[in-house]
Amino acid sequence: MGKVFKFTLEQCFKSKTYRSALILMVIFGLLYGPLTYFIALKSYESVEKIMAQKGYEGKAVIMNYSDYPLDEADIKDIDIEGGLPDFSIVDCKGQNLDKEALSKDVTNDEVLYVITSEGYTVNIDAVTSKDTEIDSAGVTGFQAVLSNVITENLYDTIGFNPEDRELIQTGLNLESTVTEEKYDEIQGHEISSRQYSTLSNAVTIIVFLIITLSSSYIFTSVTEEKLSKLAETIILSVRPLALLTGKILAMLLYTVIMLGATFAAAKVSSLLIKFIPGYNSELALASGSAFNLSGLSASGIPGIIIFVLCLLIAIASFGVFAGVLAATISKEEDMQSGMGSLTIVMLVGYLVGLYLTDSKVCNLIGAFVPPVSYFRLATGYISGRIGIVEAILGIGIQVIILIALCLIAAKTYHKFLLSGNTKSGIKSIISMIKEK
Amino acid sequence: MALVVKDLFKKYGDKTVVDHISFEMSKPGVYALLGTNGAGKSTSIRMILDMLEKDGGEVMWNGGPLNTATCNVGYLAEERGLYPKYSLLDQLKYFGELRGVKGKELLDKIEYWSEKLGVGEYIYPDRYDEAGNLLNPNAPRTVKKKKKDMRPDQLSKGNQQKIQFLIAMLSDPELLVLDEPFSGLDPVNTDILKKVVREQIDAGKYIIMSSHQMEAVEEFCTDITILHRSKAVVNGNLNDIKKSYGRVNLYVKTETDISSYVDACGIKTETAKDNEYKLKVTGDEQANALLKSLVNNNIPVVKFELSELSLHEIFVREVGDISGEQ
Repeated sequence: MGKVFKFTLEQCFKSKTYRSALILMVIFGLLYGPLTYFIALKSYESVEKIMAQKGYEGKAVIMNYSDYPLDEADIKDIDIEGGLPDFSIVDCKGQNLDKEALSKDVTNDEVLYVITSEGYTVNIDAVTSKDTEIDSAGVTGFQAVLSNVITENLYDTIGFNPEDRELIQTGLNLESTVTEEKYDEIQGHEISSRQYSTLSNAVTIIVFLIITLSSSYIFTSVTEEKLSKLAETIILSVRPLALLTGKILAMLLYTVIMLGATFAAAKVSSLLIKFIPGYNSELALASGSAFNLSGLSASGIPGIIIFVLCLLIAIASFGVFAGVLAATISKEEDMQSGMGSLTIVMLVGYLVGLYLTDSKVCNLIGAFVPPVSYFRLATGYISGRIGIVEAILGIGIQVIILIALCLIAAKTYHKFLLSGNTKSGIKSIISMIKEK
Repeated sequence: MALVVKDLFKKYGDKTVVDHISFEMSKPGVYALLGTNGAGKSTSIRMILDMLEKDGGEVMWNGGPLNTATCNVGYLAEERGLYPKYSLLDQLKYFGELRGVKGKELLDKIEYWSEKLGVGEYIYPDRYDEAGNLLNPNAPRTVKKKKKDMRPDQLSKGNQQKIQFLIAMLSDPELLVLDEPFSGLDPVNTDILKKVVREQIDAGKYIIMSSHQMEAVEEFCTDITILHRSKAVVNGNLNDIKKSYGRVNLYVKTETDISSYVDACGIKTETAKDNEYKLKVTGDEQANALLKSLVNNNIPVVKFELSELSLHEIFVREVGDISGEQ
């Protein structure tokens, strides 16, 4: 088995495909953080530009159809870059709004601002002429001025005090409420729902990539050995299960190396971007660009152990499954259907794992139900969604499945490898198991 | 007794695929395991080599059960069994190591056999020019390579066959099992391999050969088993088997047409062309009667040869007879 392990690992690193995959993952780890950060920075700067208060030289006609007052006195003393335009306010509260009619008379040196409201939501539309002389930064800048003023008037109308206003302005969502039960539940969470979502999606994708890579290698290798009758030569020297185990162990090591290299690259990258002038750590965190998967370490060593254990069990389980499936292939034409069965199982786990929501029931499904648990159990524990007991039980279920797969392999693999059976795939495996 | 195969039996469901096959090899040499397609040869070989579980019988080597621990076996499978996309040298090292040969000894053996079998230019491409001429036999094995390692999918079937033979020989096996060793080989390479087989016989190896090329089998083997539909229909020493059929093949070459004399003796003509006759006689008596007739009539005889049935004819006769009965 050791020689099979060594040979498989060597050929993996000699294979262009697998070398490229390793290099690509490292590049991904290096670039993900900076790319996400710079994209977020760009969006942030764009938003800042839009939100920046600015004036222009020209006229502004303000038609206030909203339920909230707006007086000249609220605006005339505001000091902004570019200066205030020559504005006039028309109180249109209660009147019908005909935007089209209003828009027809806008001249090139003026902007028409139409303020409407629905409940507590205020909308400000800026209308310019086709050949306007006023630059867009000025239009949006004065729009921002009006927005701030009318918002203040809205708060006054509702009766918010300054503390309430600060809360709202920092992002309090008035429509989001939780029950006491939910509140108690989320107190135990190590990371926020948003971070959990980012982490679990990232981990799900990584696990899927790794399982696909390792299982497809094992499947292809076993099929090659069977179809080329190479198996006959090899099993003279090494037992079939030792042959399969050697391959699986080699793929385990390859994926551990790949993961390690990716995370190391991501860590290096996340350390290096801090030296960028003007680095904004809050923005980096908010954008998820800190791709050192720092959430993984949120629950300490046990969390990392569980993550690594789940990954290794997943690789081993899919590896055994891929090996036995591949051994049933007798003709090249059957390879697609064999690979299809494997892919379906992986995809079910991946897609369900990706789309499970952050609820108690879903978190338990993610812990106990394979193949979903291969993708979600670790992040469930790390994020505090499930406890250590559930994690251990979930791993126990995975181990039982792995043992069952190994027993199936023990009964069927050798026979499949040497036989030219006509059926392929899962049906063939089930028939062989039923045989005495 | 070095190799004893006794009552080998295998069944898949209700179908018996190997039905109580027995044979022995008491001294080095070649034992031929022959049979029609689907007769059970490959299954028998796999059971002998302990690759497949036996449903009955035993295989003994030097008094103990035959397995990879008790017997150093080299096996040349019928199909081309190489990883198509991996380097030849890597595979040779891998298979050698699997057979327990390591380090310098392994490299020496690979080099020895590659030269002997004429596949050196595929394994060490750096040592050869484009025309296959040896440039530098002393080039270090681990020199930085200018040419890429060759892969099996770049070789012809015949060369792949030779590479597989090389793999079978790496561990210097005591028992060699060759399944269709000459298939896919041109006459030159067939001669190379035959020479190697003869050397192995002289070196005291036990060889089990399975082949459809009867001439090649006859050239080497001393004992045979012919399988048909899971059963052994012929078993024993080849010479004895041939003698049991008697000398019935008569070859006559004359300077004139002798058809009338042949017919007069009641002899069956198989082929007759340009005064060369292949005849089937019932035995020495009939042949002598024809010769007497020709001599008495002053017919010039260039050649008159009475011989036994060929292995091919025995095979067809045995398998054909049984197929006819069924």
